[in-house]
Amino acid sequence: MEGAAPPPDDGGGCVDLGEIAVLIDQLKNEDVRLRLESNANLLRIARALGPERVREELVPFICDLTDDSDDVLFEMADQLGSLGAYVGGPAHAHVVLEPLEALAAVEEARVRDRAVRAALEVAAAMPDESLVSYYVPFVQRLGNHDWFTARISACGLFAGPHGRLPGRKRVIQLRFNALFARLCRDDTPMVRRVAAGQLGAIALAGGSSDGEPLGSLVSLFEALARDDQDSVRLQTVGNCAALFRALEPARVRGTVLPVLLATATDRSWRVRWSAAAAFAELAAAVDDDVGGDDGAHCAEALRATFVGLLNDVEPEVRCAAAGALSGVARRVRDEDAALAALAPSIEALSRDGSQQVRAALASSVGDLAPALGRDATVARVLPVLLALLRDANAEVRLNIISNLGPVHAVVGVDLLSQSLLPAIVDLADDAKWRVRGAIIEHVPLIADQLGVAFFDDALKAKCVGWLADDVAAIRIAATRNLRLLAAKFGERWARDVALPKVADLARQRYYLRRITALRALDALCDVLAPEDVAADVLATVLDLCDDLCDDPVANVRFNAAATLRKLAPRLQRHRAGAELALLKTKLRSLADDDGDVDVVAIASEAAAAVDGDE
Amino acid sequence: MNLEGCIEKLMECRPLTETEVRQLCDNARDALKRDANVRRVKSPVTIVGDIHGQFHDLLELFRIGGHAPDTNYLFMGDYVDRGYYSVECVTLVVALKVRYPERVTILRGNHESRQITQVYGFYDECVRKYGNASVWKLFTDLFDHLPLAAMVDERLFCPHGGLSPSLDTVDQILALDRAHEVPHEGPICDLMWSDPDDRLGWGISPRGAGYTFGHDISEKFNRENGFDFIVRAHQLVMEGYSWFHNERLVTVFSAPNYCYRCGNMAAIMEVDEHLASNFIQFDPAPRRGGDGGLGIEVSQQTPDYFL
Repeated sequence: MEGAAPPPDDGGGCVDLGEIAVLIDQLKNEDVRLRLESNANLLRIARALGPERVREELVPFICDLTDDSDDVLFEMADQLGSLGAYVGGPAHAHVVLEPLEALAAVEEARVRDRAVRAALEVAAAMPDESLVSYYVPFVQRLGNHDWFTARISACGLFAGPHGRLPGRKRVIQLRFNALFARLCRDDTPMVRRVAAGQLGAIALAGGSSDGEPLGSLVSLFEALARDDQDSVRLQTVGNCAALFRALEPARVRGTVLPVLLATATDRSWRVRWSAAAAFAELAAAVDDDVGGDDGAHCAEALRATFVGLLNDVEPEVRCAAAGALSGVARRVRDEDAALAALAPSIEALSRDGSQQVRAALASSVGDLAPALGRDATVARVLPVLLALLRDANAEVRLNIISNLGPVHAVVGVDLLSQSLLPAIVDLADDAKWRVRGAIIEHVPLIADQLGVAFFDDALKAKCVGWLADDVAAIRIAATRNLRLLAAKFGERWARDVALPKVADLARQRYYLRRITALRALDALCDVLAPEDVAADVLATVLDLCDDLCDDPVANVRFNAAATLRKLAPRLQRHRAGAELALLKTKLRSLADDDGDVDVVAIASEAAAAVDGDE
Repeated sequence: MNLEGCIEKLMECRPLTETEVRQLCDNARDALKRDANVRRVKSPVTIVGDIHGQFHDLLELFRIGGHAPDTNYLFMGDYVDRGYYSVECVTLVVALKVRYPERVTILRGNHESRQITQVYGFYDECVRKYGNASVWKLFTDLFDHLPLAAMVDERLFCPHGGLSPSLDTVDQILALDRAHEVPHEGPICDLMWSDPDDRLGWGISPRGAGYTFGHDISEKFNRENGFDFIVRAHQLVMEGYSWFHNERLVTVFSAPNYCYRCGNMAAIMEVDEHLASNFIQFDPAPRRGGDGGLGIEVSQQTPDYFL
């Protein structure tokens, strides 16, 4: 058996026994940092000692260690999970359970959780037979411990190994199940809470082989869902999705569904919130895992419940339910029924007193459009969208603009332009820069979807106006936008409308505007079909850059130098020798004579690069 | 050292290594020693008040004001303490100063001090992020070389806090020996700690350091030194900026929702090349996640130095 599973090489190379002795010694050092370091090196120690000495000396030694530092204990638990590979094969892996038992009972939850994970890692490596002889008793000792901390840890030890207990050891299985049932009825609410949190996973793991254990799980599930502590009931919803999958449809309809529906009217808002927050996944689980008439029945019942959550008295619950709308909308099968059920609630939510609720609604309401179809969207969803687009709260407005896509697709161009465009033009001057930013981001999309013809003069003027925005991020987005728009609206627009505006910008009294003008020039050149920019356009651009090279503000001069550098290849392609020579003279004079270090640095670099191009 | 790489890393809110900080501080010391006690700054420039470790809001500030070197900046101190990212904030501001010494000016605030940082968070943060106090030591040693004030085109006077009864002229400030820890009293202390007040003349400051001064004091100082008005930081103002003393003094505060709870707006002051000023107000940067807007890597406990 020895060496059947060779311990992984952790890269330590050859082992210095003296060093190992020091590490072992440090496990008991007074200095926490040294103890931590040694614990982190536990696997190196184990590799040096060899399997036999690990089993007979190191593990008992670790069991005897009592440490009061949670950090040290955590590190120890972390290492013990891997130590199973160093004890001489799976048959011996169980020896590691002993030190883990103590760690699983400590007060610090972080240490316990790690010890539980480590024990599951060890169990995964153990042969099925030793699960019966070592693992089950280990869990039983923890589960019957006087301290509730140990019993909490026990709850986490069922799910994985449960399904691996050999079928012929029926008694063991029953005893194991009985222990879990006892933990579910524990006097300490914290234990019940953790047990409740594990129930779904156990249902999935211990699954279908035998009807009986699952039967008892369902009654435990029902009992926990009626617990007087809301922290315990809070686990109900999470278990439902698992049970949907684990049980046959009739059982779901008969037992799980009523419990789930009850959470939506629970006296604790946190429980109702948990139902609302998980609603999209629950609707999906019903669709995917519960078939036939029973599934349809469940879906119907869920929808009625969802309307209740949308109208809950607590804003947090309404908020979570509004957020789940998109997910629910994707699962709509019957448009008319969905419309009748949801539309009144959505209209009410759009007037909700809580801005968080309206913001959640704003980011999900658009997703209803594909589910409801064009007519219903126009009649019921569009008015809500318009109301939210003019909401007093910026986040609400922002969420609507960022989620217009699905509505575009359903409602079509004409209607959207008539109803939304005026509101969007208003928002182009919104006081919050992120709202302006979101509008800019959507301008190319709007241009795509509405077509150039719909792009009225008001919106075109905004696009140029954003170049002079107070906020740098908006100016940058506006230059990016200009590049896209010039491509869409064509060379004529770029030359006759955009270029004069940019020229104005280049003469503004504030240096940051003039720098934006340089960026915009670069953007326009890019799209004016780079290979055949009309000579007069190029001349205008060059003139502007030339002026800005003599700007009183250094920041403008070095940006002009950088822009000239980008223009140079275009001039070369046009064989515009005279202009190119002018450009080079300009760069060289900046590089040689300017009084500002940054201008000199950038102009020299640009001049060298232009020379290098040839 | 690769300054551009460091700045890029910092912009992603990743602290530099201890070695990088050491190199950065070496370079910064040389750059700062070249600055006079009152640094002459040319317009146009964007003036920034307290930042206090609110790194995500500092990034928001750059989104609004623009990035160096396109935008010139004058930071008036208080980069560290109170917020959760003092290390990132101060490293970034210092790195920008080293990379663009002509475009960026950084001043000393009352929090750029060994004593204050041990109480209000920067020291603890350094130890938490680096495992020891050597980065704190590097920065606090560097702070001794920060200029005490700046003047824009010799028309705007910009200290972190305010004026001092021991100082009538800029020449007197230029003559001070600044390379020490912020003293408990005297002219250097006053420049970092004083506040304007409605009462005339000099008053005792409730802060226990510096003085309060009335509009008569501001007017006299401006008149005698040829300043239009004073721009300073140091005090929370709900709108991000606030005029005092018949527009002889303005406070600029650049940490929105100060300490993640005050609900104030922040502002920066853009001074153009004709010395016209424009204030841009901003809100906290939006943050993802359900941690109450505090960002990641935040300890669960509220430190006791919070308001």
